[in-house]
Amino acid sequence: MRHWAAASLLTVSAIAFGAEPVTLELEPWPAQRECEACVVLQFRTLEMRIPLTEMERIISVAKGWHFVPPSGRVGDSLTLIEALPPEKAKLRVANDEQFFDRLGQAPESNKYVGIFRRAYNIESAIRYTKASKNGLHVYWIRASDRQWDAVYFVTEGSNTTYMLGGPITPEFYQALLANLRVTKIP
Amino acid sequence: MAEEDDTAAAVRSMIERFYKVGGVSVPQNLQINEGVAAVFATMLEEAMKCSKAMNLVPMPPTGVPSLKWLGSQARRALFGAFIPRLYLTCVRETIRVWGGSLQAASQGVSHRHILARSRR
Repeated sequence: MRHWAAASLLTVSAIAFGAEPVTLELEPWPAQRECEACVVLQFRTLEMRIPLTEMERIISVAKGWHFVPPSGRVGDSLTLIEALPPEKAKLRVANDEQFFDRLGQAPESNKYVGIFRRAYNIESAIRYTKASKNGLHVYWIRASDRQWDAVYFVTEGSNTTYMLGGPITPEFYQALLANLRVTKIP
Repeated sequence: MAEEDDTAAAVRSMIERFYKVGGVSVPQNLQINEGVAAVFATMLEEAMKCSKAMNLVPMPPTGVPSLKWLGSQARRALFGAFIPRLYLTCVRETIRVWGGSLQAASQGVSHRHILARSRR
Protein backbone atom coordinates (compact mmCIF):
# COMPACT_ATOMS: atom_id res chain seq x y z
CA MET A 1 0.00 0.00 0.00
CA ARG A 2 2.84 2.34 0.88
CA HIS A 3 4.55 1.48 -2.40
CA TRP A 4 1.34 2.27 -4.28
CA ALA A 5 0.89 5.57 -2.45
CA ALA A 6 4.48 6.57 -3.13
CA ALA A 7 4.16 5.70 -6.82
CA SER A 8 0.95 7.71 -7.09
CA LEU A 9 2.59 10.65 -5.36
CA LEU A 10 5.50 10.51 -7.78
CA THR A 11 3.11 10.44 -10.73
CA VAL A 12 1.10 13.37 -9.44
CA SER A 13 4.32 15.26 -8.75
CA ALA A 14 5.62 14.51 -12.24
CA ILE A 15 2.44 15.85 -13.81
CA ALA A 16 2.40 18.87 -11.52
CA PHE A 17 5.96 19.76 -12.46
CA GLY A 18 5.25 19.37 -16.16
CA ALA A 19 7.17 16.14 -16.81
CA GLU A 20 7.35 14.93 -20.38
CA PRO A 21 4.53 12.56 -21.38
CA VAL A 22 5.44 8.89 -21.60
CA THR A 23 6.32 7.95 -25.17
CA LEU A 24 7.13 4.65 -26.86
CA GLU A 25 10.73 3.47 -26.55
CA LEU A 26 12.14 0.78 -28.83
CA GLU A 27 14.13 -1.91 -27.06
CA PRO A 28 16.14 -4.86 -28.41
CA TRP A 29 14.59 -8.31 -28.19
CA PRO A 30 16.28 -10.32 -25.41
CA ALA A 31 18.77 -12.89 -26.71
CA GLN A 32 17.55 -16.45 -27.03
CA ARG A 33 18.92 -18.69 -24.31
CA GLU A 34 18.90 -22.34 -23.44
CA CYS A 35 16.52 -23.28 -20.69
CA GLU A 36 16.52 -26.86 -19.51
CA ALA A 37 14.41 -26.21 -16.44
CA CYS A 38 11.62 -24.71 -18.50
CA VAL A 39 8.18 -25.87 -19.43
CA VAL A 40 6.96 -25.33 -22.99
CA LEU A 41 3.52 -23.77 -23.13
CA GLN A 42 1.32 -22.78 -26.02
CA PHE A 43 -1.51 -20.29 -25.56
CA ARG A 44 -3.39 -20.21 -28.88
CA THR A 45 -0.58 -19.17 -31.26
CA LEU A 46 1.96 -18.03 -28.66
CA GLU A 47 4.64 -20.57 -27.78
CA MET A 48 6.70 -19.81 -24.70
CA ARG A 49 9.24 -21.49 -22.43
CA ILE A 50 8.80 -20.45 -18.86
CA PRO A 51 11.50 -21.21 -16.28
CA LEU A 52 10.12 -23.32 -13.45
CA THR A 53 11.79 -20.88 -11.07
CA GLU A 54 9.41 -18.16 -12.25
CA MET A 55 6.12 -19.86 -11.41
CA GLU A 56 4.58 -22.21 -8.91
CA ARG A 57 1.69 -23.35 -11.14
CA ILE A 58 -0.70 -22.28 -13.88
CA ILE A 59 -4.43 -22.05 -13.27
CA SER A 60 -7.02 -22.02 -16.03
CA VAL A 61 -10.68 -21.54 -15.10
CA ALA A 62 -12.15 -19.85 -18.16
CA LYS A 63 -10.47 -18.36 -21.21
CA GLY A 64 -7.19 -17.22 -19.67
CA TRP A 65 -4.20 -18.58 -17.81
CA HIS A 66 -3.00 -17.44 -14.41
CA PHE A 67 0.73 -17.76 -13.78
CA VAL A 68 1.08 -18.11 -10.03
CA PRO A 69 4.48 -16.85 -8.81
CA PRO A 70 6.84 -18.95 -6.67
CA SER A 71 5.29 -17.41 -3.54
CA GLY A 72 2.10 -19.32 -4.36
CA ARG A 73 -0.01 -16.17 -3.93
CA VAL A 74 -2.79 -16.25 -6.53
CA GLY A 75 -3.43 -12.58 -5.83
CA ASP A 76 0.00 -11.81 -7.32
CA SER A 77 -0.51 -13.96 -10.41
CA LEU A 78 -0.06 -12.81 -13.98
CA THR A 79 -3.06 -13.33 -16.22
CA LEU A 80 -2.70 -14.17 -19.91
CA ILE A 81 -5.78 -13.50 -22.01
CA GLU A 82 -6.90 -12.74 -25.53
CA ALA A 83 -7.39 -8.99 -25.40
CA LEU A 84 -10.47 -7.26 -26.74
CA PRO A 85 -9.75 -5.91 -30.22
CA PRO A 86 -8.35 -2.38 -29.94
CA GLU A 87 -10.58 0.44 -31.17
CA LYS A 88 -8.50 1.04 -34.31
CA ALA A 89 -11.13 3.06 -36.17
CA LYS A 90 -11.17 5.76 -33.51
CA LEU A 91 -7.43 6.31 -33.96
CA ARG A 92 -7.72 5.93 -37.74
CA VAL A 93 -5.14 3.18 -37.92
CA ALA A 94 -5.20 -0.02 -39.94
CA ASN A 95 -3.86 -2.63 -37.56
CA ASP A 96 -3.10 -3.40 -33.93
CA GLU A 97 0.60 -2.55 -34.28
CA GLN A 98 -0.24 0.92 -35.53
CA PHE A 99 -2.76 1.29 -32.69
CA PHE A 100 -0.17 0.58 -29.98
CA ASP A 101 2.46 2.66 -31.78
CA ARG A 102 0.04 5.56 -31.86
CA LEU A 103 -0.60 5.29 -28.13
CA GLY A 104 3.11 5.85 -27.68
CA GLN A 105 2.85 9.36 -29.07
CA ALA A 106 1.98 12.32 -26.92
CA PRO A 107 -1.72 13.19 -27.16
CA GLU A 108 -2.44 15.71 -29.89
CA SER A 109 -5.34 16.59 -32.16
CA ASN A 110 -7.08 13.21 -31.95
CA LYS A 111 -8.82 13.26 -28.56
CA TYR A 112 -9.07 9.47 -28.54
CA VAL A 113 -5.29 9.11 -28.24
CA GLY A 114 -5.47 10.73 -24.81
CA ILE A 115 -8.54 8.72 -23.82
CA PHE A 116 -6.95 5.38 -24.72
CA ARG A 117 -3.60 6.36 -23.21
CA ARG A 118 -5.47 6.77 -19.93
CA ALA A 119 -7.57 3.62 -20.44
CA TYR A 120 -4.42 1.55 -21.07
CA ASN A 121 -2.63 3.26 -18.13
CA ILE A 122 0.09 4.64 -20.42
CA GLU A 123 -0.52 8.24 -19.40
CA SER A 124 0.54 7.44 -15.83
CA ALA A 125 3.10 4.74 -16.69
CA ILE A 126 6.76 4.77 -15.77
CA ARG A 127 7.78 3.48 -19.21
CA TYR A 128 6.21 2.19 -22.43
CA THR A 129 8.46 -0.03 -24.55
CA LYS A 130 8.29 -2.09 -27.72
CA ALA A 131 10.40 -5.05 -28.84
CA SER A 132 9.95 -6.83 -32.17
CA LYS A 133 11.09 -10.10 -33.69
CA ASN A 134 9.89 -12.07 -36.73
CA GLY A 135 6.59 -10.23 -37.05
CA LEU A 136 5.80 -10.39 -33.32
CA HIS A 137 5.60 -7.03 -31.52
CA VAL A 138 5.59 -6.88 -27.74
CA TYR A 139 4.48 -3.72 -25.92
CA TRP A 140 5.22 -3.43 -22.22
CA ILE A 141 3.34 -0.84 -20.16
CA ARG A 142 5.24 -0.48 -16.89
CA ALA A 143 2.58 1.05 -14.70
CA SER A 144 3.30 3.30 -11.75
CA ASP A 145 0.99 0.99 -9.81
CA ARG A 146 2.51 -2.39 -10.68
CA GLN A 147 -0.73 -4.32 -10.46
CA TRP A 148 -1.60 -2.55 -13.72
CA ASP A 149 1.55 -3.65 -15.58
CA ALA A 150 0.57 -5.06 -18.96
CA VAL A 151 2.32 -6.69 -21.90
CA TYR A 152 0.52 -6.81 -25.24
CA PHE A 153 1.52 -9.33 -27.93
CA VAL A 154 0.70 -8.21 -31.47
CA THR A 155 1.26 -10.49 -34.45
CA GLU A 156 1.53 -9.10 -37.97
CA GLY A 157 -1.22 -10.39 -40.22
CA SER A 158 -3.41 -11.46 -37.31
CA ASN A 159 -6.37 -9.76 -35.71
CA THR A 160 -5.73 -11.42 -32.38
CA THR A 161 -3.82 -9.60 -29.67
CA TYR A 162 -2.90 -11.23 -26.38
CA MET A 163 -2.35 -9.51 -23.06
CA LEU A 164 -0.42 -10.49 -19.95
CA GLY A 165 -1.49 -8.43 -16.94
CA GLY A 166 -0.23 -8.17 -13.37
CA PRO A 167 2.98 -7.29 -11.56
CA ILE A 168 5.52 -8.33 -14.21
CA THR A 169 9.12 -8.50 -13.06
CA PRO A 170 11.94 -7.71 -15.52
CA GLU A 171 13.21 -11.27 -14.91
CA PHE A 172 9.90 -12.80 -16.00
CA TYR A 173 9.68 -10.49 -19.01
CA GLN A 174 13.24 -11.32 -20.14
CA ALA A 175 12.70 -15.04 -19.63
CA LEU A 176 9.40 -14.94 -21.50
CA LEU A 177 10.70 -13.10 -24.55
CA ALA A 178 13.96 -15.07 -24.77
CA ASN A 179 12.08 -18.09 -26.12
CA LEU A 180 8.81 -16.62 -27.35
CA ARG A 181 7.53 -17.27 -30.86
CA VAL A 182 4.37 -17.47 -32.89
CA THR A 183 3.36 -20.92 -34.05
CA LYS A 184 0.37 -22.68 -35.58
CA ILE A 185 -2.40 -24.09 -33.46
CA PRO A 186 -2.08 -27.88 -33.84
CA MET B 1 -30.62 14.62 -8.98
CA ALA B 2 -30.10 13.28 -5.46
CA GLU B 3 -31.44 9.92 -6.64
CA GLU B 4 -28.93 9.91 -9.55
CA ASP B 5 -26.08 10.64 -7.14
CA ASP B 6 -27.20 7.83 -4.86
CA THR B 7 -27.40 5.47 -7.79
CA ALA B 8 -23.93 6.38 -8.99
CA ALA B 9 -22.58 5.96 -5.47
CA ALA B 10 -24.23 2.55 -5.17
CA VAL B 11 -22.72 1.43 -8.48
CA ARG B 12 -19.30 2.75 -7.50
CA SER B 13 -19.50 0.76 -4.29
CA MET B 14 -20.45 -2.31 -6.33
CA ILE B 15 -17.44 -1.83 -8.61
CA GLU B 16 -15.14 -1.31 -5.63
CA ARG B 17 -16.32 -4.56 -4.02
CA PHE B 18 -15.83 -6.44 -7.27
CA TYR B 19 -12.29 -5.11 -7.75
CA LYS B 20 -11.49 -5.88 -4.12
CA VAL B 21 -12.35 -9.54 -4.75
CA GLY B 22 -9.85 -9.44 -7.63
CA GLY B 23 -7.20 -7.92 -5.37
CA VAL B 24 -6.75 -4.82 -7.50
CA SER B 25 -7.70 -1.21 -6.92
CA VAL B 26 -10.38 0.61 -8.87
CA PRO B 27 -8.95 2.96 -11.53
CA GLN B 28 -8.51 6.47 -10.24
CA ASN B 29 -10.94 9.16 -11.39
CA LEU B 30 -13.54 6.65 -12.54
CA GLN B 31 -16.65 8.60 -13.53
CA ILE B 32 -19.82 6.57 -13.14
CA ASN B 33 -22.11 6.88 -16.17
CA GLU B 34 -24.35 4.74 -18.39
CA GLY B 35 -21.37 3.45 -20.37
CA VAL B 36 -19.59 2.34 -17.20
CA ALA B 37 -22.78 0.61 -16.04
CA ALA B 38 -22.98 -1.29 -19.33
CA VAL B 39 -19.36 -2.43 -19.17
CA PHE B 40 -19.56 -3.36 -15.51
CA ALA B 41 -22.76 -5.36 -16.05
CA THR B 42 -20.87 -7.30 -18.72
CA MET B 43 -18.02 -7.90 -16.27
CA LEU B 44 -20.46 -9.17 -13.65
CA GLU B 45 -22.08 -11.50 -16.16
CA GLU B 46 -18.72 -12.88 -17.32
CA ALA B 47 -17.49 -13.40 -13.77
CA MET B 48 -20.75 -15.12 -12.81
CA LYS B 49 -20.55 -17.50 -15.77
CA CYS B 50 -16.94 -18.30 -14.98
CA SER B 51 -17.69 -18.83 -11.27
CA LYS B 52 -20.77 -20.98 -11.92
CA ALA B 53 -22.75 -18.43 -9.98
CA MET B 54 -25.33 -17.53 -12.59
CA ASN B 55 -28.76 -16.16 -11.68
CA LEU B 56 -27.63 -14.65 -8.41
CA VAL B 57 -27.81 -11.28 -10.14
CA PRO B 58 -30.25 -11.90 -13.00
CA MET B 59 -29.53 -9.76 -16.04
CA PRO B 60 -32.28 -7.91 -17.92
CA PRO B 61 -33.61 -10.16 -20.70
CA THR B 62 -32.74 -7.72 -23.49
CA GLY B 63 -30.50 -4.74 -24.11
CA VAL B 64 -27.74 -3.25 -22.01
CA PRO B 65 -28.36 -2.92 -18.26
CA SER B 66 -28.83 0.72 -17.28
CA LEU B 67 -27.21 2.63 -14.46
CA LYS B 68 -30.56 2.74 -12.67
CA TRP B 69 -31.03 -1.02 -12.93
CA LEU B 70 -27.49 -1.70 -11.73
CA GLY B 71 -27.97 0.70 -8.82
CA SER B 72 -31.14 -1.16 -7.81
CA GLN B 73 -29.19 -4.43 -7.80
CA ALA B 74 -26.47 -2.88 -5.67
CA ARG B 75 -29.02 -2.14 -2.96
CA ARG B 76 -30.34 -5.71 -2.86
CA ALA B 77 -29.03 -8.00 -0.16
CA LEU B 78 -28.55 -10.65 -2.83
CA PHE B 79 -25.57 -8.76 -4.23
CA GLY B 80 -23.81 -8.96 -0.88
CA ALA B 81 -24.35 -12.70 -0.85
CA PHE B 82 -23.26 -13.06 -4.44
CA ILE B 83 -19.88 -11.35 -4.20
CA PRO B 84 -18.22 -14.02 -2.00
CA ARG B 85 -19.36 -16.68 -4.48
CA LEU B 86 -17.10 -15.32 -7.22
CA TYR B 87 -13.78 -17.03 -7.83
CA LEU B 88 -10.72 -14.82 -7.43
CA THR B 89 -9.31 -16.06 -10.74
CA CYS B 90 -12.55 -15.35 -12.60
CA VAL B 91 -12.72 -11.80 -11.28
CA ARG B 92 -9.06 -11.12 -12.07
CA GLU B 93 -9.51 -12.44 -15.60
CA THR B 94 -12.63 -10.34 -16.14
CA ILE B 95 -10.88 -7.21 -14.89
CA ARG B 96 -7.93 -7.84 -17.24
CA VAL B 97 -10.24 -8.25 -20.22
CA TRP B 98 -12.65 -5.40 -19.53
CA GLY B 99 -10.77 -2.99 -17.24
CA GLY B 100 -9.57 -0.82 -20.12
CA SER B 101 -13.08 -0.62 -21.58
CA LEU B 102 -14.40 0.43 -18.17
CA GLN B 103 -11.89 3.28 -18.08
CA ALA B 104 -12.67 4.30 -21.67
CA ALA B 105 -16.41 4.26 -20.91
CA SER B 106 -15.73 6.48 -17.91
CA GLN B 107 -14.37 9.01 -20.41
CA GLY B 108 -17.40 8.68 -22.67
CA VAL B 109 -16.13 6.07 -25.16
CA SER B 110 -18.09 2.83 -25.39
CA HIS B 111 -16.35 -0.24 -26.74
CA ARG B 112 -17.97 -1.57 -29.88
CA HIS B 113 -18.51 -4.97 -28.22
CA ILE B 114 -20.79 -3.27 -25.70
CA LEU B 115 -22.59 -1.39 -28.46
CA ALA B 116 -23.10 -4.68 -30.30
CA ARG B 117 -24.71 -6.18 -27.18
CA SER B 118 -27.20 -3.33 -27.05
CA ARG B 119 -28.44 -4.25 -30.52
CA ARG B 120 -29.04 -7.92 -29.68
